[in-house]
Amino acid sequence: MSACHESDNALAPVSAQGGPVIALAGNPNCGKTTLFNLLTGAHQHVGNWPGVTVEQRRGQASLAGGKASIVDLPGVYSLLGGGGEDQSVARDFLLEGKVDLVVNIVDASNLERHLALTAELLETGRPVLLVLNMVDEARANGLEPRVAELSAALGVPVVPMVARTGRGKRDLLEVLGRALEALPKPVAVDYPQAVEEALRALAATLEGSAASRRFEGLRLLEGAAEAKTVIVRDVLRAVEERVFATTGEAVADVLADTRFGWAHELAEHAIRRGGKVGMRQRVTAVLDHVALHEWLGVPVFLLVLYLVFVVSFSGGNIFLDFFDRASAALLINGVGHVLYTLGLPAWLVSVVAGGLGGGLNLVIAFIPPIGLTFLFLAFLDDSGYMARAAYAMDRLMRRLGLPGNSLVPMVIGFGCNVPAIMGSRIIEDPRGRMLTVLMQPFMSCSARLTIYMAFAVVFFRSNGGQVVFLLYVLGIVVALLTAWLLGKTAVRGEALPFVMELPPYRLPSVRSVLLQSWQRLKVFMFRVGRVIAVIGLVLFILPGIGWTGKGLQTTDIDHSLLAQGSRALVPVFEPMGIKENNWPAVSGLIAGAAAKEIVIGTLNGIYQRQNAADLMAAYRHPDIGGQLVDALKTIPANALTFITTLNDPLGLSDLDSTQATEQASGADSATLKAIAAGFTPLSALAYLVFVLLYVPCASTMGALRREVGWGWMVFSMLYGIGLGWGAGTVIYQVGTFAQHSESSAFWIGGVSAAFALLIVGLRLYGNARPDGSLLGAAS
Amino acid sequence: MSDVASISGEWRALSSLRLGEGGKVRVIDGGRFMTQRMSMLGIRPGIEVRVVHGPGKRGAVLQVDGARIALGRGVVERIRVEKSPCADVSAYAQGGRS
Repeated sequence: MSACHESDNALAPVSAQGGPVIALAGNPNCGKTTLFNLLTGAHQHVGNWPGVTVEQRRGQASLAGGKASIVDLPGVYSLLGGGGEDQSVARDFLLEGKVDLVVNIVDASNLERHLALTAELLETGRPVLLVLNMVDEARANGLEPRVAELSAALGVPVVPMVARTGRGKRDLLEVLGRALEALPKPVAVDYPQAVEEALRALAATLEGSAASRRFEGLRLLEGAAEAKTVIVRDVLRAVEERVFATTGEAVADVLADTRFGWAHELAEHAIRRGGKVGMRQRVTAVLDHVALHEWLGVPVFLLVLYLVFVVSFSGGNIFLDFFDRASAALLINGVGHVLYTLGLPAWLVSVVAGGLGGGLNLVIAFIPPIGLTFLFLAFLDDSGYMARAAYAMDRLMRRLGLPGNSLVPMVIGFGCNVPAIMGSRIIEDPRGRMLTVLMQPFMSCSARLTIYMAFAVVFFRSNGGQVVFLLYVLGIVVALLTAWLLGKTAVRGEALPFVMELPPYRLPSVRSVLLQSWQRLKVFMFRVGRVIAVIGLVLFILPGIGWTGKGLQTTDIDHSLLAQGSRALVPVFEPMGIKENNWPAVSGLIAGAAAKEIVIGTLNGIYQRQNAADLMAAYRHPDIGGQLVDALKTIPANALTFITTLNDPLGLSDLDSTQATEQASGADSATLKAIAAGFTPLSALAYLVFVLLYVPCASTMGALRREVGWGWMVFSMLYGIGLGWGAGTVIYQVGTFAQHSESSAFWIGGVSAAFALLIVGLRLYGNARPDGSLLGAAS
Repeated sequence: MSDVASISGEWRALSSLRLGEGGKVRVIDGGRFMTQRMSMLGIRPGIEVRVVHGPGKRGAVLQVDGARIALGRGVVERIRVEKSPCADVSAYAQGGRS
């Protein structure tokens, strides 16, 4: 649930300056990224479910002997194959990449299975070091690791750790430093006589060092690699037959059995099973009983989402006015006053105070609800519930032709669509992965949340949480229906049966939840701040020039190029209730195709300019102290509203929104006032639905292109715009049906017909391409 | 399910176990892909598993050593186990191999 796509780009680039390369390898959800963050000081997204990391990342760590480059990899169960695209990324790197030392992280409470990967890693011939992670949880389960025995048996250093709390970090740094100086010589698995003979025979036909020949031989015997020459192929066939003749088993099975047997024995040897099974297991059983309940599972998941978004909005509302008014007092009026008294020209004052200050004011106002959303999502992330939700929703998803774990990227999508699209890599079958990727643009990301919030504050103040929640639900429904529709027409097939490891439940630590949500909030604010600063400048120039009878000239905003261009497009959006004088709304949508954060910034810039004259008066005689006091007073008042509306969790009493205009006039900032004047509650809703469904942002489109190719990206873009426009139009026309039933009927009928046509088109496309070919083209 | 079957310990589908019952995995149907998918998660012939949730319409959650693995219905039906003799339903909360 990374809040932001740019956080990924902010990573240190692949290190150019030499230094040893240390790769972190292990099963999914064993704490690789936690260790990565601990070693490098990075703040990569960690979560308590398998598949959080889906690409390799690099960072620098300072060891005793100097700097080292640390590579964080997606989790992988086996080097032989299996799993989604994410596991291939890790596998390819571990097999082919330049690595000086592999740090293999194993979960102490599940040692046997994790050691199966260790066995494979040792065979690659790379120097390996073992981190025995989560020893605290193992002890709570009555398992006492015997570190010295494990280290002796493997021939490599073993460091017991609790990466989450940082315990064992100093030991690890020390051991890492030593291991890089004198690379550990691991003791690999011994195979039965017949297999060892086969390996020797194969090695004789191969090239390279003894270790690499042995490893290649193993890969050949397991069918994980292809014989490159005729001689190798002939020898391979001969030894396979010989092993089968002596052992009565296929050689690949002998290898697997030996390795698993090795892991089993080692785990038995290295873990003392004493003590009682603690409370943990019982708590897990009780929680799972509810979370995975046959018919409670789905409602529980919906309830969790409802609580996240409604509590975020309503709880955030308590502080929203304070943040809004206090930042307006300081950033708009305060800054404006200072600049005015400094004697700067009026236009400069209004650009800085109104454009920049006003934009920041809008963003700051929405910090409380967005921060709370991030807080709740971070809590969910750490709790271990995510994988359960995926299992609980599996049956429902399957009916729609999707695997249950496609739910995980969807929840990530609430933060940002880009990591959600990347996160779809955890899905094993290409068909399910593609459908999941195409669903993600409809998930309401945090950038869209600002827009919802701005409109909700104006039009749906007391039941805003519910409206926002409905928009989220609408996004989910559209995403699911999209997958269902495509799965039935263009990309037919069935989802693979559900298989997923359920992580242990954890009570998320306050520190980690706060840190994680702060990281996201920071990134979010920085990005928004930057966008608003840029857009403030652009909006200063664009609205100032226009095409007049005498050619290109400086004009007032209403005759500017921006206004002319946006007005030209207004008729397109008229069926969804945007009137000609509300052209800034269209400008916002155009800018929003690049990034949703810009929408509010654009609206702000334009509205502020339209009202620049009124604001200048405020800069001359500001009452900042009084405004701050007023701002403080809103907290108890809003808290009271929050408490009194607790008995109406669905906000039903406000559905009949005749007071909407009164509420709107109560909105404070100039931009919100302008929004109130330009829209009706109905057209605002249609606008928000369009914002939800049309192109999320340029970065999401880029991620789509990378994951499913140009063709599907273009489809997704057109489909989103069409669907958004259709839905917005239907909402507005149904709402105003009584006023002009004839034209409304025309629009509604038109949208339905277009949709029917789309289905026919997709069906024909699916008929023309039997399933496989299309997926091949996509991946 | 007859009593004879449960005493004799013959191989049966995992989906026929009850909550809290355990068994030793014997056969995983569905070809190499399926076997590999399961062994990745520690489910392979000879391993002791215990049903800690379900089996139901969704499938089942198995305790496999220290891990809990959720399996969809389609998978649960393809795994055949030899039921462990002493199944104590109240022990379903206990982890680890028995």
